[in-house]
Amino acid sequence: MYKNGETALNRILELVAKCPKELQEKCFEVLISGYVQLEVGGVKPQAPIGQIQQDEQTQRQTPPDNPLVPPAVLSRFKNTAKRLSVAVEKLEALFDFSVDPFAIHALTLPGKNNAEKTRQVALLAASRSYLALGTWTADWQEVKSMCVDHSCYDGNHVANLKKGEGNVFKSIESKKTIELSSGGVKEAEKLIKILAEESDQ
Amino acid sequence: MILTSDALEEFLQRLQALDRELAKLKGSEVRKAETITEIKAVSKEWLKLSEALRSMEAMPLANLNLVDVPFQEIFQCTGARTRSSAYRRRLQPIVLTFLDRIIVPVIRFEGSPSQVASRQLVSKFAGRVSPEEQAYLEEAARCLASHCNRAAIMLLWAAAVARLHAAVEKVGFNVYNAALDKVGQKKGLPFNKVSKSAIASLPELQRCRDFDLLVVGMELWKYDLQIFEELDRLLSIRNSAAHPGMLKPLALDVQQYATNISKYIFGVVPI
Repeated sequence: MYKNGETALNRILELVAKCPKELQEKCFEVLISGYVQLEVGGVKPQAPIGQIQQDEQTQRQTPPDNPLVPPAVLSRFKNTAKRLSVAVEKLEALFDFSVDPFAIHALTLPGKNNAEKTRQVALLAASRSYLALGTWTADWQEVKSMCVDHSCYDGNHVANLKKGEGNVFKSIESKKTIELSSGGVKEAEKLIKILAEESDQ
Repeated sequence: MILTSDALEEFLQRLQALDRELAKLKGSEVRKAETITEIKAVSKEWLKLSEALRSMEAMPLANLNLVDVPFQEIFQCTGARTRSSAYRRRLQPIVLTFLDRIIVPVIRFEGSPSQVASRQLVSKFAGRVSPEEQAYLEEAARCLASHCNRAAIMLLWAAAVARLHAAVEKVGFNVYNAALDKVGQKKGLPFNKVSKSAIASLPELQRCRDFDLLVVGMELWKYDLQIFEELDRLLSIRNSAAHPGMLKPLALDVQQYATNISKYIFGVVPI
């Protein structure tokens, strides 16, 4: 064990030196732990990056035999999929069930500007809440967090949402919840249908 | 101190206002007592915020240090005659990076599904619980946020029992004992499983089995056998969560449990 330790360490230091300064420490940790694992025989030789990406794509395209949809929400997923005339698998593909509670996968939302995107985010968050708990109510902080992810978080966050109050949002309780109106529910269903249909393209 | 991104956004607005105020002085010495007081106040406020942020696992310490040091310098400057340009030199980098380095990590933390689930759990009971019950619910929510789902179930049941005890105390022990007698006269399950020990004080009530309370509750609060069976199922889940075994509830199971507790205990048993 560690026969070529010095050579390996020199090579690692060479690689680390090529990284940006702020990432050097992390890079060193990753490389040294990888080397140690290889030496103790804990890991298989790594496949080429291209192959890994291909495998990941295949995994994404092939629906898992045993989807991890929690039993508590499975019937709601099936009913929603049926109502929207989309395959359950496509609807499930919008969500990440490997985390508890399940989260929304990275998606591209429609919308020309921040205000439109913010409202779409609220609809999507309310949809997740509906599928999880049966209520079309979005959590304020979840919407904010998703807005950060979709680059539509700005100083006009509240104003952007207020524009939809009445026809899309039944009530907006600032810093707490955003409840959808019946029109908002229709909009949200339309949105998840579009996203689900896009998910396999 | 429970810190929210909303509070941090307000703090950033305060910093921006201070920066605008300093910019008006065009580099000259800051003499206005109100401005110096505000500089001292924001520096002290940051100390509190920084302390609270340090306990938040989502916040990288390096980000905090980048704000801590300039604020320390800003505060030290208030002890001497200082130009506005000197203050701004330290304040501007904070203002420019505060959103990305401080607020965004907090927003992401708050918006994580487990934090959302935790808030949703508490909101189910909003306006319907006493401060004592609320304390149990908040503890349950903290457990849920930390993925301690079995502990969350136990604390939700504790909130339910707190409601049952408060309701018995309200109707009085004599009424409870009379209801217990009535239950004792009934035959078959679940009535024949109730231990027939009368109570005369809170400690005696606290020693009562939860199962007995649920059965006597049919007499006291007039819910039927079907509601009792739902409550008994909830007690059974609580017992499973409290003992070693293979039960591994998900966050959604805890939320479902909270919904049922809200419906069948807080919706049925008046305080």
